[in-house]
Amino acid sequence: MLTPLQIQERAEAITARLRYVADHAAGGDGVYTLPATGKVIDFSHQKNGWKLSRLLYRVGELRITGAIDALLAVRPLLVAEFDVHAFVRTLGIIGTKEHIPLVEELRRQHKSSAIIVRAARQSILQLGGKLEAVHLSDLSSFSGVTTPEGLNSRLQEMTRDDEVNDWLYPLYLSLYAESPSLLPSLVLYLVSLPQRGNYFQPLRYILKAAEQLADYPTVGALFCWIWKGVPVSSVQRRYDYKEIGGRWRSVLRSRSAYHPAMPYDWQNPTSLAEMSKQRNTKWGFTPATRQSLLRRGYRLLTTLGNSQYGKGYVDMATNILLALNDQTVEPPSEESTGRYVYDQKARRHRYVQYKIYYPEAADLVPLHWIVNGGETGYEIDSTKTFVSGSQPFTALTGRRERYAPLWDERPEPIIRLLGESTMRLVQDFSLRVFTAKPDFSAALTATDIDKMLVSQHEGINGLVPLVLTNRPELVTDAITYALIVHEQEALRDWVANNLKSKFGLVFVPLLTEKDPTRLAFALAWLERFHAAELAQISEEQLSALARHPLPAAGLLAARLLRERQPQPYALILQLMTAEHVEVRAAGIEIFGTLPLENLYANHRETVLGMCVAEPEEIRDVAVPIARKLAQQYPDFGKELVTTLVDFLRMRGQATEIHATISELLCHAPIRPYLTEVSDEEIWKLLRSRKVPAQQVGFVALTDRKSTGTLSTNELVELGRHDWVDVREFAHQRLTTSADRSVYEVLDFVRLFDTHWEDSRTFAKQFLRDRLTARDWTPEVLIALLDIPREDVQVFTLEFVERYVGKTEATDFLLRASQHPGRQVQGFAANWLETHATGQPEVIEQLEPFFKTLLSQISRGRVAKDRVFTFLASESAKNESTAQLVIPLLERLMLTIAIGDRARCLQILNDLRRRYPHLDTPLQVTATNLSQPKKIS
Amino acid sequence: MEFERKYQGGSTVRQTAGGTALSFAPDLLREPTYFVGSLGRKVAYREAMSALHAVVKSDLRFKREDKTDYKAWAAEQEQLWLAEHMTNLPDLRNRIAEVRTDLEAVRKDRSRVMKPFWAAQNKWRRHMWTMDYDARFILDPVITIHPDELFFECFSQDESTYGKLSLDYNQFERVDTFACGTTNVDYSDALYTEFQKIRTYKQTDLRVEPSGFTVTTEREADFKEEKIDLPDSWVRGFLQVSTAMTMPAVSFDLHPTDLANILFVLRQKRAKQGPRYMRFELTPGQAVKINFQPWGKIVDCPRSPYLGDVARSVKVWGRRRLLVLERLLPLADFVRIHLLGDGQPSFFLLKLGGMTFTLGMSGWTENDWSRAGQFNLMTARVNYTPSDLDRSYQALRDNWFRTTDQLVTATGFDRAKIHGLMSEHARAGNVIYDLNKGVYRARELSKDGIPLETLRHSSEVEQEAFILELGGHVNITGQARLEQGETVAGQVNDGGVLHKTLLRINEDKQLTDANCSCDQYKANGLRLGPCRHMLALRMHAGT
Repeated sequence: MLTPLQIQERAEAITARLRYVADHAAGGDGVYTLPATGKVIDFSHQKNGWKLSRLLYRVGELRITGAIDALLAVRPLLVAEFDVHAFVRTLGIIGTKEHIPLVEELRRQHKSSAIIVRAARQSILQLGGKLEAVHLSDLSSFSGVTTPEGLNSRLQEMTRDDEVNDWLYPLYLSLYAESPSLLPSLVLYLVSLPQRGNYFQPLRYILKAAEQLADYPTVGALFCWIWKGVPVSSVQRRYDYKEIGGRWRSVLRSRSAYHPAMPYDWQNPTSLAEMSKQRNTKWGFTPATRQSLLRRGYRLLTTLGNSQYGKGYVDMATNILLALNDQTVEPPSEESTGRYVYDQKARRHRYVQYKIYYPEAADLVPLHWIVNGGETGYEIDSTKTFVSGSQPFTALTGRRERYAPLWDERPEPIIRLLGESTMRLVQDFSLRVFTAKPDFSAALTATDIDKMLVSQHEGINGLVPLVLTNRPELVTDAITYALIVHEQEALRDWVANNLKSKFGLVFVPLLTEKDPTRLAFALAWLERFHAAELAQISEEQLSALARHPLPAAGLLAARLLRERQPQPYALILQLMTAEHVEVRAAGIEIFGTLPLENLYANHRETVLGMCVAEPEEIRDVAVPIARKLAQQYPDFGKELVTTLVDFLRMRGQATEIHATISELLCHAPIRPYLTEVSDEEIWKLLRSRKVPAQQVGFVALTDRKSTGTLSTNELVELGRHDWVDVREFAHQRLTTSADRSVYEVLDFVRLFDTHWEDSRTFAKQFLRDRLTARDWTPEVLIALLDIPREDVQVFTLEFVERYVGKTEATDFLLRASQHPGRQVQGFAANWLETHATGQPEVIEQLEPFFKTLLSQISRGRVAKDRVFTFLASESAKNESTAQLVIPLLERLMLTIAIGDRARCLQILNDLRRRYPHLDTPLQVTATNLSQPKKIS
Repeated sequence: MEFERKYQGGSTVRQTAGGTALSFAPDLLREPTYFVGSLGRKVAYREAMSALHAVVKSDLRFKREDKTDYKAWAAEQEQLWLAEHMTNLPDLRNRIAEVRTDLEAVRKDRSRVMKPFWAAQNKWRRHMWTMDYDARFILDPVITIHPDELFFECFSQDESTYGKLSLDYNQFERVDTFACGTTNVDYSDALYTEFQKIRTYKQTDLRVEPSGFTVTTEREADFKEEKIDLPDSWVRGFLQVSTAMTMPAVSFDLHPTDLANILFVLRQKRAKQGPRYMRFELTPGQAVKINFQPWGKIVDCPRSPYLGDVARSVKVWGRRRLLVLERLLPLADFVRIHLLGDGQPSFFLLKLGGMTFTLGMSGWTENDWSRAGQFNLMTARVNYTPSDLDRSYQALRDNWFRTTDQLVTATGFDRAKIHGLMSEHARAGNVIYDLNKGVYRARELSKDGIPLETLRHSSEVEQEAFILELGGHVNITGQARLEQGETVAGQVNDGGVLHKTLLRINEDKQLTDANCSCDQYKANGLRLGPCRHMLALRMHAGT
């Protein structure tokens, strides 16, 4: 850090050099004496003098106000654009209001140069002039914006991701001039923008303007924005080989702009100058640009640190440190690597291994530059990406920041870092400085204390009691509350021992507390120190507690309500319908403790509703209440049953609710009330697809005293039920009422028509055991045959032979012939000979049967043969039968099944001979049979 | 495509000793359509409904054998085989033999222990198959009630067979009440089982329940709502077959025994390789002959002369679908066949007294890309305006059914335009042509309309091919018959680029090979199916 004398000497030396440039042009000798130290400098003998622009920039950089005369003296020497730019810029920095016309004149003369115009505008502003209206014309959208929120929303509306957003730069100047209070909001918005080309250009202008205007907070924030950016654009360099001085050398031919998202034309690459002129939103900054701007930033920090503008350094550094809040801190690490070293003696290369050590947060170079820059080993090259060393970094203690005395000058930056920084290393730094400067605490405000309490740094939190002890006037209700709910026990204890709290001070803010831990502390505080007041809170306050979005408050409300009499139902309901399960459970529990008379008189619908509520915990509480109520109040029991049965019958899938209902209804003390369910309802329940409904239906049915009056039809339906208990019940009842079952056997046989084998087995056994020969009527057998199950048909046929008498056989045959099943048809065909022979009228009625059987394709061979044989014999015996058979066979006779065809022809031929007067489709033609050949 | 249905309860059959009451639950989301009557020819109705059920259940698609178990066993064996193959050492071989013996013993034990489980599992699967069978029905049949008849329509699961059963009102002993319209009825496998119990000696009532339309209580479990998501290909198939009924066809009658002979051949033989068609050889004045390939067996129909003027030969594939008609043979008076052409839909109408059963078959059982596809069936054949469409439909709807001449008189359009408009309505699922009575009938397949544009083509490639063909960009340069099949060569102009395309089609109209000069073929061959140029050429050639 330079001493004031050194600073003075440096300023004078530069002023002298500048004066030399002016004098030299006028023929001066070049020897100057510095007033501060008396040192004499002879510029005439120095080689490689500075460029004029460089000299002028340096004057502006160091803000050497004493060089104004020298500056004005070099005005006639301004030729190059950068010289003029440097002159204008420096004039703005060190000049006064009288120099505004000169700046204006230069701007007019060089209005084609954008950088000079920008610098002139900034200088005019800096010298107290006004911005031109024309440059503010595109800021009309921002007129009338006076609040940070308004500015922010307007910025979001105006910003276009696919445009260059030129208006940002004049907006910055406008706010700087007119509304400096809004500048922090603008800067906050700017650093949130992505590091892309369309934003980089205006932000670079703003950075340079801020630098000129000494707006160091802005410079610091933008410096960090550039530091975080990853250059995507790059420069493609193309080289040629040229012979220079007898040797072939690689010579840079051209540089062109490259961006991975833009097509690169190898034939016609875009030059950097062209790309810069293009208003291209993709083109960002190159690595070289980034490095250049970073170097510039570090140099500015150094300049400020070494100048009398220490405030500027601190402001810039503070904003840099705060901008690092979103960076992660990597732990210390080390890396093993090596390199080849030429061994002269051995005349070969040797591989030497070594380690590189990285301290904590090694990649956060700006942080280390500012905070640890005064420590050995941390004097890093600012252009590096990491802080590293060849030796392990030792733990650092004490103050080691660069330009430490500057940090001691003002408390505000340190207080700001204490409150706003979220990075531990920065917090440590600010704590170190603050601790070293006890007088800084005098500058703290209540807002600062609030921020310090919110900080994650324990040390910063721990400062608060010390500060408040010395400055009790800073203790506000908000701060007291913040201490009461702080996670650090020490702070809470300090409040308990040193401050006096009021009930409302804690209760009111906790109602809007969103953090569960803080809420827990607040509630614990109230219980510890304000238990009596807590117990006496009003209904409105209790309701507010119950409505709290966090469950702990609701649970407290429930506890308080539990201890209160009477218990307002509205509050109970509020708890029962709370968002959180545990609060609801507490509310329901309280509801459950209400006297039964009260529940019965006033809350029956609620209890009924709770029994079918979706949350399980509500049903768990409601069911015992419902049981108790039903036990004590019969009409409630009846109403409960009616309501729950209705619910069971509603459309939809079975859920846990239905299971609960079933459990409730099927057991005492509710079960006896199932007598309220009508028979029709019981059957609907049994037929329901929901198992719980079936269970209830079954229980209701079996409890009915009149189950003996269930008809056979109904018992059969039960016997076909999917639930085995129901089927077994049906079997049992059918057995008990066996006589009636036998009497109504035509209904009973429907029991066979089920896919449940147990019922079919039961039915078969029942019929075998119970039916006598008299009971096996053709109707019964036909009804059994009608059942489309092979095993049943096989079972039935067993009895057909046994029990169908001759008188019934014909009728049985006629009915069986209509059966679509092949087995039964085959059986019927078997009976033709026995029971249809010699009965033309029966044969006529069997005509569809014959047609069906004979029309089968490649099936029923045996049955077909029987039918053919039967028809042949019957038609031979009876002419009317023949008249029936002829068209039947005529229809079939041209089949290509040669066996059937042969039979048809045979029978028709026989009939033709037997009944020549009947019209048969055969025509017999005589033919000469050829004599068989003799084989010799 | 989603179809919504709402039924109160379900269709039921109540059996008593003396009667059967069939009650179909109509779709309550459609206009009230109901019918109450008592059947006359009960057994015939039973058989016809059974045939319809067979159509609904029909699924003749190729089902790959499940080799999962084999593959699992092979994976187990693989290690052993590998070890055996690799080793030459006798010791190891002996060891392998020992392990193998142990493994076999373990497997036997496992089988013994697991056998009851597997048997129970299979039994459960069969039970679930039966219980849940209804879930596999694609779409509930459509019933349409008209002033002169009512008819049921259905379509098979494999998207290839259409069934229609029409009942004249003289089939009913008594008709109490009815309201004309079209509705879906809730149908299930259990209903089919109940149908089998219909007898002549039991009174059989048929109801399409009207009561559901007046019930207002909807909370109860009796109401069943369902949304069925039908594949577009299924709906397209249905509409293609329906549209085909409006197109000109060659018709002739067969004696029922001739149909029985056809079924006899199909039952006796099963083709293991192609071609698998039956060819109807129609010579004016002579008996219809049917040639069954690949066997070359010819079935003569001496009682069924062809009465047309022009000799024709028409090939029909997917002939095994005819087996669903077996149950109707005893009832059939005659069979009328309508053929549209080689590989085009065909219709078999069985007259069953006062009932008519129509079996419509698409060109092939599987309508995949390897065949010609029903490209033209979904093409509009006449230019029309929306008002033409409305007017013609309204003219039909006023009376529910009309002949072509009646529609000409009612609308003032000429016959060709009427045919075109009715075809358009048929494509949209709003009209069918009654092949039996020769009238157009109003029948809305879906109450919400069917988005034709999404169904017109089965794929984007087909749509592109259609556009190429329609734009006249296809030119056939050569077509040759081969010993088995044919080749078609042509050029397709696609965006100014001329692509040379060659198709090789076998006798089963399958595209067995093709090539094209386009990028898709060069990059992928036929792995992605035929390119649009191949399809366009095929459409143009009409093969």
